[in-house]
Amino acid sequence: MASSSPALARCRVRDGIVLPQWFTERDHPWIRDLIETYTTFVGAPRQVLDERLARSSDGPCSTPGWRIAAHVLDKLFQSEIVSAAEPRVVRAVVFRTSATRPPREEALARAAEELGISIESVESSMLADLPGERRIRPPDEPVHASTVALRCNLAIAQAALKHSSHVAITLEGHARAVVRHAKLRGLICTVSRSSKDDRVVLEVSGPLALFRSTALYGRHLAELVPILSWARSFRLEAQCELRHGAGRLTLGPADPIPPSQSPRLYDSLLEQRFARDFTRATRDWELVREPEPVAVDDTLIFPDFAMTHTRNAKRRWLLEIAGFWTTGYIEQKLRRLRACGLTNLILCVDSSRDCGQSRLLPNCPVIRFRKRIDVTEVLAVIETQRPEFESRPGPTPDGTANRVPSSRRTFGTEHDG
Amino acid sequence: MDLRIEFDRGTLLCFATPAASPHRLPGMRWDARVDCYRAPARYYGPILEQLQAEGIVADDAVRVAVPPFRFSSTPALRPYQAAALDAWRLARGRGIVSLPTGSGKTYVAAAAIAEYRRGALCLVPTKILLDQWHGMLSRLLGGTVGRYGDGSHDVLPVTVATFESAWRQMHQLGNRFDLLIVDEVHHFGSGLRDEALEMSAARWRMGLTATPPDCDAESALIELIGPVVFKLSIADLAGGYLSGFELIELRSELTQEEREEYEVARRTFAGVSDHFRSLAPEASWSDFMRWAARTPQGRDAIAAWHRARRVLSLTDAKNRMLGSLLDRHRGSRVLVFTADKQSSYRISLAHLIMPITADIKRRERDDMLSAFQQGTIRALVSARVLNEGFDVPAADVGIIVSGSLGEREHTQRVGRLLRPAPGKSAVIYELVSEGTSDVPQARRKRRGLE
Repeated sequence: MASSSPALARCRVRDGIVLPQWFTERDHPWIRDLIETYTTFVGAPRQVLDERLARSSDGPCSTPGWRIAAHVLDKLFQSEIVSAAEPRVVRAVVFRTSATRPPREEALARAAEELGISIESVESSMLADLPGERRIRPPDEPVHASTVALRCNLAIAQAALKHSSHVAITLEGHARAVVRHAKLRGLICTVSRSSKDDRVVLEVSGPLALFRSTALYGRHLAELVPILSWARSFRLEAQCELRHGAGRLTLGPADPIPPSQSPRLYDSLLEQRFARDFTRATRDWELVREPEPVAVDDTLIFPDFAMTHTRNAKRRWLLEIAGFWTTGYIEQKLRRLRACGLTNLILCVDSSRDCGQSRLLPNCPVIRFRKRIDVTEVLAVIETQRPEFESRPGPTPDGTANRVPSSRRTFGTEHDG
Repeated sequence: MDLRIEFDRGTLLCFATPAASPHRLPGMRWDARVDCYRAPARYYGPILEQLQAEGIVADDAVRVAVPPFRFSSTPALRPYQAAALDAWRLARGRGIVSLPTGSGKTYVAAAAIAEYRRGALCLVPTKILLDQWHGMLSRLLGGTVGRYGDGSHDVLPVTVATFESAWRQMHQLGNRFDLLIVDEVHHFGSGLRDEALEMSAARWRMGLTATPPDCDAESALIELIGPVVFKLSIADLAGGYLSGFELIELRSELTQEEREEYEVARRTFAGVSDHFRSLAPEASWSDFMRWAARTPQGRDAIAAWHRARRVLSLTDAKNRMLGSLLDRHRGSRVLVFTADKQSSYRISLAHLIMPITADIKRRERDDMLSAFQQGTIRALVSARVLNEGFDVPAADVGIIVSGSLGEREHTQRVGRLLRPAPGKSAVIYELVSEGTSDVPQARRKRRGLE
């Protein structure tokens, strides 16, 4: 499926290769002009700027590149409500009054009296909260043409990837974040090692990739791009089905794509709260976020936390939080944990997604929670129970920990969570 | 057991011995990524039918356990609603029911849910319809109905979800419901939302619409939902189960300035459009838009088309005429329809009418709709929000200032005024600018009501 987004219009296909038309320094002068236009309208209603831009977009400025840059600037120049009274209250009074006091002037005068503001303020406040009437705010930080150009390039790369169903990524370092993203987004990710060197090769695709590219998973694949810039080096290849032809897109560190913000330490508020509560509750245990993955059966699992006793490193527990889950998923996961003898993993499951306790393994601690994981329950388990065997550190995809002999691992399916 | 089927993120995984020949099952393909067969979840029904026909007993792990279906009521149906349900049932629970706005499509859906007594997911296009369906189904079925979308995530045996939420979450929700009901189904058939229908394992599917899908979307919808199995138009029900109505076309002239702006824009557009028509006489409007977007001249033509539409959306004469009509119908409840939000806001400021648009928050919209219902405000103006499914039975006068979506939109707008009430007969004015594209469009739109 393809759309006619301006970013997509900057991707040409020649001889089966997607050629992104990157923004370069040559674009900086007109981007600077556009930034100047936005800056001029700071304090003005958004629709005034829109009208000005619409006039520009009728003429030579209607190129896809111009539209991408304007879209980027829309995000940088936010807007705010400026009004003498709360617009919603003003509307309620005005429209009620106008039903009983028909002439417009009389209705406005009566409303102004009731609200205690001038007639002009009533008129200017009536729709002041609507997007077109909000006032343009200056950006939080100075906006430079080079920054806008880089953001536009990211939009171009992502537009192409949204129309792919499968990407192959070779990278050095920071593979975990990519794998984790794939897992969180429900993508299927296979991991192997490059035959030439020791780099990690990830093949990522959506479950429906077998049949066609989908907007849902295409969007998730596109989200991988800014994460890649944290790797020491990378090469991404994807087959894209664009409206004007199919082609292979290749991205590497030399492409002018901006680095993303550093990956968030926590995937959810729930995890963040747990980490905070845990470190406050005890000093006997050290909490590690995203410890090394553990080889289980034919796959790897990625625990959310590891808890190691500060005086006895052999006392080590792993903790994984299951978000949306089904009985089948939990059963399968526990079956696999049991098969490999992993007993030092605590599974936290959301009570609102009911799963009969009788189905769960007695020797694998499961903590139920509702909105917040109770740290005292976790501490009760790790202080009182002894795992049947010590934890088995597995490999990290970027090879910074112990490796497992198998060269290929599958992540992100229902089977590994 | 030779064969096991599981749900996996909008698809079905099939684990089988070679003897079971899973490749013969509908939609199944070998997936080397996970070493088993896989099919889009929508094939669940056909797969079960084939397994049953061949006498193969499979371990079916697709459906998750959901709380039991506990509803006490079954809605009473009018004869044409019962006929629609019969037609859908005869189509083996897969098909589209096309009934005019205000004729009670939700009743047909509720009756299907009550009859099948299975988990049902109802998809609706907007947050407003989410509220409306949620309230209506709770009342008709006599039980608690789940809501998914607009900040709610309550999944119950019968759940209403917005299209957007369904698209984002069907990979998780797709195996929880046997019956899928899609309101305003004409939105599907040619877009990314189709993915939601593809990722659902629901075996029975009902589409509801007032305006049957066009040819482009029809074949895709037959695959995803089923064919149109029952169809009635406004003309079939007006004056009986729907309120009677009078449609009055009011023509006006453009000012000289408007005429000049309109003609310049029209000529710019026509130059490119006529050239395209000569190259591809059978091509659609969307084909033209895609073609035009590739060249500067084409983009100029698109911009000119938008300018022409802007001129016609609220001319001076239309604005004055609207003022007169509002004065004339001061004692009535009036709905004003425009082509775009900007025109709605201009009318709102000029005539002090409450705008109902997507920019207005839900709570305020609800407050204003009940004020309209009670008569404490006299008129509402909207571009698109009031087009579909909005229940405003008190409205008896409609003023269509301009439109942007053709016959389908017109049919829905007229239908908005036809909710029956004792002694009610609606009046609908259509404001048309003489010597512009408004005139042929008005003619086409009228035909759509027949």
